[in-house]
Amino acid sequence: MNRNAQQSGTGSFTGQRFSRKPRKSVLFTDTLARRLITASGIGSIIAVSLVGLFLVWVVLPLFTPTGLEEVSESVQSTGAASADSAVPSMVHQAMDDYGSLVWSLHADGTILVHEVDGGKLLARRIVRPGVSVTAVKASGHQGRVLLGYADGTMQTVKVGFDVSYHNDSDLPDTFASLSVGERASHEQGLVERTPEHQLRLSRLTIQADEPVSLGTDPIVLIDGSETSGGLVVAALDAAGVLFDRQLRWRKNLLTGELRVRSTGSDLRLEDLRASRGTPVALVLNDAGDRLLLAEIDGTTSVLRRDGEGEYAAVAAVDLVPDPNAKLTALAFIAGRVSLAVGDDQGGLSVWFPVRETPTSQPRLQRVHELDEHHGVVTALASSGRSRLLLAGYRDGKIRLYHVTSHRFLGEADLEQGPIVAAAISPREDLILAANRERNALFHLDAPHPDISFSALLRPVWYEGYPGPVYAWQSSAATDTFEPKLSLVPLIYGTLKATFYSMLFGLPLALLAALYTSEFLHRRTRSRIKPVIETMASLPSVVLGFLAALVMAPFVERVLVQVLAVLFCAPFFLLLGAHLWQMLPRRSLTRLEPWRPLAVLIALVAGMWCSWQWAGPLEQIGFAGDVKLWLDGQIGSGITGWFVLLLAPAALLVGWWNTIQGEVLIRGRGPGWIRWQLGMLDLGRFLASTAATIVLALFAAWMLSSSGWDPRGSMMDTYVQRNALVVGFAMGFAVIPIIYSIAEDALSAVPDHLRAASLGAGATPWQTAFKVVVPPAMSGLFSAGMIGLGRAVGETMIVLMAAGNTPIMEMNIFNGFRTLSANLAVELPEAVQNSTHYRTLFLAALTLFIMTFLLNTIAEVVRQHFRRKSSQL
Amino acid sequence: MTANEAKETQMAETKTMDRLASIAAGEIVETRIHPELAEEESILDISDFNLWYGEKQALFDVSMTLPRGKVTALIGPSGCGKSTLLRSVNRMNDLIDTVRIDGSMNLGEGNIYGPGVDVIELRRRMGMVFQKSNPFPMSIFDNVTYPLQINGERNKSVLRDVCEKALRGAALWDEVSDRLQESALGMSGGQQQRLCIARAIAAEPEVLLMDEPCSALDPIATTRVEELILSLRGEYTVLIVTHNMQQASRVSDYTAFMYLGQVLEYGPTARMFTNPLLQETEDYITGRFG
Repeated sequence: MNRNAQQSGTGSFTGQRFSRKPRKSVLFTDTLARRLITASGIGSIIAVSLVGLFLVWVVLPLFTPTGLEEVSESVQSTGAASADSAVPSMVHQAMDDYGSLVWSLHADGTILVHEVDGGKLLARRIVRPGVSVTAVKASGHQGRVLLGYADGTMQTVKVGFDVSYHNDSDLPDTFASLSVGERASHEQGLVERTPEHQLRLSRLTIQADEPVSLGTDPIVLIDGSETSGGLVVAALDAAGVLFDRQLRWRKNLLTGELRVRSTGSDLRLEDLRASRGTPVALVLNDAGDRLLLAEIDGTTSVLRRDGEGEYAAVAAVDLVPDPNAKLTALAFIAGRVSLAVGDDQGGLSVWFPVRETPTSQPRLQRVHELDEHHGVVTALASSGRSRLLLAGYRDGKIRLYHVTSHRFLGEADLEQGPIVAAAISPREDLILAANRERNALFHLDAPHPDISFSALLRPVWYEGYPGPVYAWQSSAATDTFEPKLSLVPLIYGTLKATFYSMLFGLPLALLAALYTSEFLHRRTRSRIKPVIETMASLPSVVLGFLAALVMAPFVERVLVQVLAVLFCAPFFLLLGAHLWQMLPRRSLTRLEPWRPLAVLIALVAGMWCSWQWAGPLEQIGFAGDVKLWLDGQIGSGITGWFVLLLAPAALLVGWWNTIQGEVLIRGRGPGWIRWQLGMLDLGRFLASTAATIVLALFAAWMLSSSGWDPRGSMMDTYVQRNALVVGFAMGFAVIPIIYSIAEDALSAVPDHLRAASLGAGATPWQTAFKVVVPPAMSGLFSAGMIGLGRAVGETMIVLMAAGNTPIMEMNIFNGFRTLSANLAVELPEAVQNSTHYRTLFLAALTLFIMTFLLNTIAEVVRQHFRRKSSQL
Repeated sequence: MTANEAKETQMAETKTMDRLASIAAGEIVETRIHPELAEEESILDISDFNLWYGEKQALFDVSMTLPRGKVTALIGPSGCGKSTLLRSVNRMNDLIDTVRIDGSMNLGEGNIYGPGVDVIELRRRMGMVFQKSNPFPMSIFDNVTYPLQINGERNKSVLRDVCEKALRGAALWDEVSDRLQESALGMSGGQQQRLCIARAIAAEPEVLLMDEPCSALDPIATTRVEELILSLRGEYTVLIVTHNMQQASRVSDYTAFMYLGQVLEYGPTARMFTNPLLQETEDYITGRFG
């Protein structure tokens, strides 16, 4: 015994003495590891939450309430209270692009220019002194003012702002001290220091054309519209003569002077319309082909104006259906297509022409109703770039609406006097509302007025559409275009992609998993599983590329063959299986290794046959041309139903077979020899196939003869990039993940259950379905859910192969646009922090929530399954 | 113990060890079958049965008969091939790819391994109870009637009758008759094993195969299962594999002693345990090796 052992004393068995206290290094590593793991765990949770939070943070401003706040020190006086006490009531006002200057038109034709901040009067012009103005119309967004005079003349005035940029040296020294954003008045204009340190000089320019003589009686109503053939003007005088004029400007090449030439005709109003009431409003639409004459009770005659200036009454509508209400305000909103109508009961509605069918004449319809306030609408103003509508009331209130989304954005109160004119600045950041006393300035903070939950998720009636629709169209070429940002088509597209890819991928993956876990040799399984899992590592962009550029054109060319192979391949596989089992047992054992080859041969035979039969099938079923047939141009729907019903019919027949047919075979077990049983089984299979076809055909005939055509819903016009192609490609992408999880779930079912079942005399198939699948069910479910999550989030395949048309059709032969593909397509183009940008983030958030929910459900189910299976 | 006796014992042991060593080296010994077995009516006739797992032979020239209506126990040290032999009877070994067999087993008239034998049908003629209780994750009722259900029996009253009869047979009826529709997984271990026995006897099998049915049970549950086996005697032919000598002696009529894939001795249990023909058997039973 050595010395150490002796020192250890009694009780040491090994003769070694060990310290009972853990070493410092062990403790240190333990603590370090614990801290590190904690930190990483919490870190990853935080990282994921931050992604969600960031999305919410970007999206949230879409739903923040609008701010409408009066800037108290900026009140200008109008009318009586001002120094210009002679100036009568304001009829129109408009701001410049920078919200720094406002010009106002008054009932006598006076034009005043004020500074917006502070309300200082900068300039004053009377267009035509001495003649009293009897009719005024200004379309603020184009700066075109039409004036009608008591002497029966009219005049067009173009009001605009002249903006020039200068260096400090160009302007008097007094402006050198201006800091960025500061403003000072200069020669009836305004100087502002730009962020680039230049000086911007804005001045009002008024270009008044020479008056055009129309008649002798005072003009009472006038409106005009800019068309390709010049300015079309319609004016009505006190005697009831309607003047139609087309104005063209010609520049004198020597003097540079613009001269106006007018052509047109004079018409008697009573010849044109049935109603005899006095018109109180006259509006001409954007194209200059519809003239509306409205009376005080809302009765409105719609006149069609053709290119030659001929008028014909086409319809009469009642813009104010309420018999007690009187029309008090009528104005076009941006684009001069939609008409805002206000009455004295507070009714506020927007009308536009609607074509019920693509070929019918458009008819003016009341589309949006915005009335929530009970007061007399006295003024209407709309924004030049969006569908904002500002209504001013007699009680001094102003209320701001977004027309398309029906959203009420806010209101303010000027307290006394009716609102006579209001304006929304071009940037939609300022609002001016004038009563007879003062002109009040409001800060408007409504960056996303068109977004609300109902606009995103409910059908919206856009201008020019025959009815409310779900639409996604974020941009277009024209200025008056209104973005259509409904998430529904995108969600629909996502679900459609998911549905068709799962329809293809889920059964394949689950059955493959069942086959490998229950029927395949252990050794083969261990080789096959990694191979299928490797499929998952195939980049989806490659799949998408193949789908879009190889598969889509190919499937389009061989559509009938593809449809036929879906049915031929299973048939030949089953036929092969039935023939295989008729082989004598001895040769069967010998041939066993070659079984996959036999499966392959059966598959190839199925493909070959569908190839051969495609021509005749197309002749018989699809009247010779499957694409025309899908268009609904030729043939009957019976083939469509047949194709759709074949699979359910096969399932039904198969189900009946297992109940009844099995007894037929089983009972004969001992007496019959192998090939006889095989023949019996084969006969049963062929009979079932025939029964399936007959059943499907019968059901198809029933449905088709009762008037239902599958074309129009599940199948319709063929588009090359469609849900079928995506279903194949994305099915291929989701198969590995579903397969892998499902196989794990099935393999996790303990072998002793299989042994018990087989020991009780069950067939492997019965064992798989009655004993293995039920406990693995939640695992299979979770596999499906995770596959769903993958399909929902998948981008590249749908982006490349789905055509990206945001339409809502269940048609398998048409494309769609998914949330994810939409993000990939549009996010690079969206202006940061714009409505479009934030809506795209909302789409991302939706996607995030969808996949999050799917994965959570999958995980919850999996946990449940784990707890349950631990009892086994 | 005198020195002489001790020496004799030692010599006997040495002799035994020598024989065991030679068996291990590959010697095929003849099975010593007690004459009493010849008087029994045989239900299963195993002759010259060999079985290989791949290259490794697990059973060597096994020849024995199973008397009808009796309980036969297979004993022997671990790895001696008891379970393999048991599982060969209903061809559960088919599930293992590498298994190869030689020889014959005759159940009644037909050879179990004959050409054209429907394995599924064969298994339905036998019930099997495993080492670990393996109720299916379904209701007690569905568990017991499983063998009938997979055979296509859908008549509820038939199923109910069979269920009751089988559960009574397995001495479980009184405990579970009021919760037949509850999950079988909620039962205790002993109940689960008796449920498995009920399931095994539900289809009225010709032979009941039991692979160490009590090894995972506590003593009380074991007693109950043993009582059950005793009560099955006469009605069913039982082949039981056990590690527990006492159990073999308590429940079986006949006992076969196996060693390294060979049946060394086969005879009435009483004689096997008191007066075996072979020294090895006695040595094993008394615990000198194993």
